[in-house]
Amino acid sequence: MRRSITLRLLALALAGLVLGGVPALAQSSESDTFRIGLIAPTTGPFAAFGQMQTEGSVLALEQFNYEVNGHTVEFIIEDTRLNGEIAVDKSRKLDEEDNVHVIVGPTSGGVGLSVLDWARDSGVPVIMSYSAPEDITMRLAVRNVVRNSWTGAQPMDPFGYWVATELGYKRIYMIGEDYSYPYNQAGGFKRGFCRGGGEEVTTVWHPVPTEDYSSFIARIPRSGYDAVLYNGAGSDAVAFVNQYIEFGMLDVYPLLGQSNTFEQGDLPAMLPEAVGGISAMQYVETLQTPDFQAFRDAYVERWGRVPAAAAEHTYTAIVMILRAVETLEDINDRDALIEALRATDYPDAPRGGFYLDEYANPVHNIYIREVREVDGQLMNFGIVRIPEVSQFGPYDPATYMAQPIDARDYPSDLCAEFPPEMLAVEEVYEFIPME
Amino acid sequence: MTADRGRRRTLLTVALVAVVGAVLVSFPSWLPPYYLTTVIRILFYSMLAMSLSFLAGQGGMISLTQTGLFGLAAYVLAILSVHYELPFPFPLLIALAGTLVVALAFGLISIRTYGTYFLILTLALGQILWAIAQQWTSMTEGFDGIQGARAPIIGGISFQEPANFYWVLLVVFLACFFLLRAVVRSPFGLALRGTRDSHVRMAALGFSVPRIRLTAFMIAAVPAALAGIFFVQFTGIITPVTLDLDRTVWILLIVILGGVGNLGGTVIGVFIALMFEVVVTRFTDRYLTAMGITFLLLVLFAPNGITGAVEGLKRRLDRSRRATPTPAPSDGPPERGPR
Repeated sequence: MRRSITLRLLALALAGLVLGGVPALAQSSESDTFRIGLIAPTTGPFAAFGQMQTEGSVLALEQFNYEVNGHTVEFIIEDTRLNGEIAVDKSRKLDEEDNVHVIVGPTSGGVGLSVLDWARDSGVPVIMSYSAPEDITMRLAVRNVVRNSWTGAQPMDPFGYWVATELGYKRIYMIGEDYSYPYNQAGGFKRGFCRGGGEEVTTVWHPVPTEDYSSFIARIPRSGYDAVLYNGAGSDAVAFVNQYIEFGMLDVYPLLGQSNTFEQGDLPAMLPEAVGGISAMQYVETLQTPDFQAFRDAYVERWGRVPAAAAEHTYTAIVMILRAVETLEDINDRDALIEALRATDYPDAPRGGFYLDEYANPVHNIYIREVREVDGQLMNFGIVRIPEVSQFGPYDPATYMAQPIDARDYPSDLCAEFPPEMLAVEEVYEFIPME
Repeated sequence: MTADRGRRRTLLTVALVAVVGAVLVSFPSWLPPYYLTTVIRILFYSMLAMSLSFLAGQGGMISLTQTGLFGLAAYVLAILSVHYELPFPFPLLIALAGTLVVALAFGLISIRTYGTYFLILTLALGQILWAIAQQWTSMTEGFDGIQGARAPIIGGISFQEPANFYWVLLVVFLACFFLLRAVVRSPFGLALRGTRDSHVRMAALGFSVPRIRLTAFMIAAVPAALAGIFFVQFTGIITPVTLDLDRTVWILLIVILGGVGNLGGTVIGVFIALMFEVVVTRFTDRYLTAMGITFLLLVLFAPNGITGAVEGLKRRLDRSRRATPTPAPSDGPPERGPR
């Protein structure tokens, strides 16, 4: 008896599958719409990112009236839950069922690498709008994957150089989150810092997440360093910065951050003494340029809050796509679309103009930012602009990519142990004061 | 007359099996590609869920280590084939063997505990595997996981082709399904259920309870490891998220949804959970909420899962049919409920 019930249920399940499959067949995509898929974490602990990415995309699409070259633009959002496996499945779904022309999105490093792995086989154009592992546009680069955001080391190399040359620091104590994005940020910082004449970046890693930093802070020697750099983000950064302040450490060493330590979304949770925290990124929420102000005003009007980097990066990704499509004769010509995307030059981007290098990663401004208090609110303000920073910093791509990938224990903490070819290069950075 | 009826039923069963078999085998030729992808996911997650369903239903061992073993097999295969570039059969065989060795160690640690203690202990063991995946960064790449594992190409046949991959997976899946079913129906299965219902009495009857439980644990590790192997070759990636508590609980819920211990029900549970994802996400972002409510209703109104509910309904129908004095066929005794 049991068997036949099971079999019948299985048969029922099959019937369900057939019925489920029929609408999919029926809704085979129309050829005159241009379809964009967004994969983002719209549920789970990173849903705030997904929301900003969605809002940025929708703002751009509305400015184009969901229309390009006389074709209607269709926009499909899928949830990744910040899980690489789900992201790959959703990318498959967007490709095989929705027949999207291009996918935008991956939010974290792991998800980005997973989608890259899928894109290599499927050939679907993908724009990495927030995922930062450098190899996506370096050692593992593929033609159909472009990035409009950044690599972990990209803002940190000029930052390290600036800290060494302009602030004159020689020894830094760095505490960081133990995973690949902070490794890459640390690598970039060390390279710039050592070239600029720094001596040592003592590096300590902590597990993600950590709530209590007392043992880490207690271990910081009270003399012999010029500054502490916290190389982490999110709730870890809030906890670390606040405990650093409460332990009175600001009287011992000034505090520097990685690119995301003083994220505008996390600043409200930090103590007012966080004022003065310095970090570097390609985005600053108080930029005083017409392009940025126009974007920010439109965003605030549409969504009622100030956009963060994640919102700008998907906004520009959508604009990049639609501008590329405008140059196409046939919207279904995938090769032409990829070529147009790789040739992106976007002089009026809100964050400041950028273009893509030959590996399809943006060359753009890096801003050195300082946390200040305005009307009781903490915000980042740009203090120095460094134009046209590439993912390779001042190095030529071949030299850079011949180095091992940044890891927990690479590059060395001691500048004296750096390979000579990483120290002896012509400097290209120009530091322009912003006030 | 009775023989005739029996033959007719056998014939019907054979016909049904033939039709289901034909449909299963022919999927790649007519299913839209994304639905074939979904069927592939249903199959490997079913193997994982069956592993837990078998342990929990037959042995009373609610093991939260099964996703850990699934992930371990996937990691071993990915590390050997991506980092060490070993040729085809070796990563697969070492992944399977390695996972079974770890399962043996875990089994030896946990089989002497029962009920909640077993659950907590296996939870801890599973989480150890997750923590290793997360933190042994030089080997596992930590957070980011390992990308690039692929199904092999053997003698010119590419198993990266979804159709070929599916057929191999289908064969392995059916083998696991029917072997597990055979175990359930064997004297060993009976002894296992004995240890579930009263391990003290089984010990008093002279059975070696630990040996029976350990054997069951090892048997269950096989489909979990195989599922992990198929999983990583299909998705191409393995990250710690796959081993985390969310996934473990997800599988447990699926087993409860299908009806604990019922292998066919477990497959249906996976089918429903995945189709839910695929279909409901079309309409709303809040599909997790919808799924949560479904599970809640299920636990309230059908605590034995879908198959339990269907069987209960059928029993009640049978009873009411017998109660109404319709001229029943004179041959054979009235049908009894299941079991």
